[in-house]
Amino acid sequence: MGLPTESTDAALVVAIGRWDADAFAETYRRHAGPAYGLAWRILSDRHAAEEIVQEVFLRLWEHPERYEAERATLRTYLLVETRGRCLDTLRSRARRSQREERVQRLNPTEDYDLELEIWDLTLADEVRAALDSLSAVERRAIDLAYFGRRSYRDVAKVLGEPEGTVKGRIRAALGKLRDRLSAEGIDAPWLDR
Amino acid sequence: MTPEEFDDLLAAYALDAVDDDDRRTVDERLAIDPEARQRLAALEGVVRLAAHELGPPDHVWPASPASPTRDCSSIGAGPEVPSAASSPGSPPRRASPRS
Repeated sequence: MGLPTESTDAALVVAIGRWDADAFAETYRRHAGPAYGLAWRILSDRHAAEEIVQEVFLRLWEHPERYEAERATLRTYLLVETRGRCLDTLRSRARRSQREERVQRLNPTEDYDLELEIWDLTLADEVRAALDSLSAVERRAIDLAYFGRRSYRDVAKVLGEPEGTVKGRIRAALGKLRDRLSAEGIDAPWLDR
Repeated sequence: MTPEEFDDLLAAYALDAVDDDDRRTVDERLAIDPEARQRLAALEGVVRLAAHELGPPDHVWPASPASPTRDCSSIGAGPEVPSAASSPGSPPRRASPRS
């Protein structure tokens, strides 16, 4: 395999089958975001969503042969896996809280894959464009806080700026994202599903 | 704290970017202020959408701190697990045109 960044998804999975960690990293870079977004949307719980993403990607690492390229794209396969694990989590919670009705509504249908693909494709471009609309300093503040799980106070130290400035930038950035996505019709109906 | 300052803090809270003291301040306010809860819900929705593109936070990357391992006992040959040297040390991210 050449550079992982230039490989097709199918080639990456073949390379993962040969224990290629770089191929695994590239696969994660390409697809972890949508999987995480989907899990968070279904579970409304970011920590549970993080666990699901770890499980899904570790499963791909351990059993790459379960992906069949002729049946679905890798993205769809990973989203289906993610959704399945989220439903398992909800069922487990429902058994504890007797809320089976909600889970029944979330059960997969024959439109299952198609629904996921549409959701993914619709969101991806719009969210990317919204993030690109942020100024460099806004994006930097978001990235430091988000990826590193830093408090805004720690971000201020890293950037050498007043805490109030950083806090304001985070708010401005989220407001800009909200306005941009809302203008594209991606707002409450998407968030509440 | 002015309303403006609280809303700045609420945005940081939605991003999970507050320390324990700030979190307590926000939680106390949310308990008595339904409008603040609505504003928070909207902010958290934006963060959830952004996560679709940003990906999970760094600590979710399964290669860090431990590389993923595969049980190859059924295959016969010993597993060739990615070494620390060959494993990425930090999670891969999507390219940002600004970074």
